[in-house]
Amino acid sequence: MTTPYFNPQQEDILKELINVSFGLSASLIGDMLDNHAKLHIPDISNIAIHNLDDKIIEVLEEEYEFYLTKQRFLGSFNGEVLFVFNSYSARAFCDLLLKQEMSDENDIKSSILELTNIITSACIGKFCEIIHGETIFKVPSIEKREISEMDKYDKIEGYDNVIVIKTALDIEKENILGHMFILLNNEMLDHLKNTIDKI
Amino acid sequence: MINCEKIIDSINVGILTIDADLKIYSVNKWFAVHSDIDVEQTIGKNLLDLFELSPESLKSLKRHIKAALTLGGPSFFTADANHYLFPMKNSITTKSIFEFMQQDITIMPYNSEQKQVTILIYDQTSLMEEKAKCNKESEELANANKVANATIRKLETAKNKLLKQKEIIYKQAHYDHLTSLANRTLLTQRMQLLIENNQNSGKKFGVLFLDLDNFKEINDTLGHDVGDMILIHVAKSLLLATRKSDTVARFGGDEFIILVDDIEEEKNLNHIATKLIQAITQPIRIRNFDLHVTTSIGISLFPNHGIDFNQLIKNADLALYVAKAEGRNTYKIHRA
Repeated sequence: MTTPYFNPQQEDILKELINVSFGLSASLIGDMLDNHAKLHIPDISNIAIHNLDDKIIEVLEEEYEFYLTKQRFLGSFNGEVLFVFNSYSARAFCDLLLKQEMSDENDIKSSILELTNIITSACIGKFCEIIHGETIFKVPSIEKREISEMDKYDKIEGYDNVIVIKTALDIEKENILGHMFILLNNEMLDHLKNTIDKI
Repeated sequence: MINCEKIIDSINVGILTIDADLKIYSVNKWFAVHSDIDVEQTIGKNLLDLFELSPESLKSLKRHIKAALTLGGPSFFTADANHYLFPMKNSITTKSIFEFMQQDITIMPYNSEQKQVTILIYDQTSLMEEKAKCNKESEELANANKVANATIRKLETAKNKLLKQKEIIYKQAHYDHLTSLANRTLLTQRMQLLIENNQNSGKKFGVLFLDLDNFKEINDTLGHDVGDMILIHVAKSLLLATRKSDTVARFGGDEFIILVDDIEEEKNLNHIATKLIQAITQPIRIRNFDLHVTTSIGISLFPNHGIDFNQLIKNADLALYVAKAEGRNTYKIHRA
């Protein structure tokens, strides 16, 4: 079992911060889709970086293929954000966004990037705001991966901790389920915790 | 004093500032050159006057502008997922698979009150070209792999078939088709092996020559099909009454030969022969009739009665002749 990074008070504040950014994201996503969108109250946990692949497999449950987005943010607050969506959720979101009869792989990827761009920007933006830090975002990337090939993909290095945030987005009757992984080194995690303690 | 305008015009990135209605406020030299337009004539124009965007691209651009302005952060298009937003001619002079420049685009909020954003365009055509080449190679490799695997599977199937055929041919050459017992060829090989091994070790082995009594009459009266059934049954009985290490062979017609290794004394052969006679004497039920068959056995012993195949068989046959002469359903050991 992993020792929690955050004490209950810190977790409450973190949840509240993410909730605010999720509210902003949901409103923008709703505008994008001309529909009401609701992002559920985030479910937060943490893992050590070496457990990342196992966690991804766990959150995907029985799914074989999935989409992974990666985006680095640099500056006084820095780290990397990963998003994982199973194929069903990715296609469902693409269908809702593009309202097309037929969507190809590129349509799905660009739709997911639009979605993750909003959530990442809102969430990391909020963290930066409370830390009074500055960050710039690198261009994100997205790829389709297979669970059976996990060992073959390059491992992400340079981080110690992962904050795992379950993101469940309700639009019409669809439940788009994704997981956000915020990768931070020890220094950034301490920085975030110290700031939260002062709030 | 740094001349920012000069820097902006010299960098290898397209930069333009537009508002949410797509009205252009500024463009840098890169953008003008790649769009084949004059900078001065561009200001104040609408982006759609310069580029023909598909309805989907236009919707997407507007969404990204809104996201950037609302969140106060960047919004991205990637060449990987979108290829390009602005249809600018590909400037690569070598043969390219792309008609238009592949673009990574970052949309940054510039002036939130006036809903203005800055658009940064990065030419990723070479990178995408390389990626496409890599993907094509990977695909070709995967296909080659598939073909190789299919060929391996076919070869394995052919190999298994050949092994089976080899097995069948071996069986046909070494086993009797009716009783599945060893045939003459295999008997000769096994006896040769025993002779070689026992010559070195000084051990003995027995050759038991069996001939069913009055079998011709059974064949003549009950028919050859019944005769065959009896032969099959006898073969099974002989196998059950002997050890796995012994060789039970059909020598021809109703004649069987059994090679029994590790014979320490002649009396061991008496015990074996008695057991075989008893096994054969058991009634055989065919078509609701209990048939009774008996056998006579002639026995020779290596090396006492011969040291080669012909001698041993000949002497066992002579002993069999004596057994038949003494009233059948009995055995005789060769007496030199």
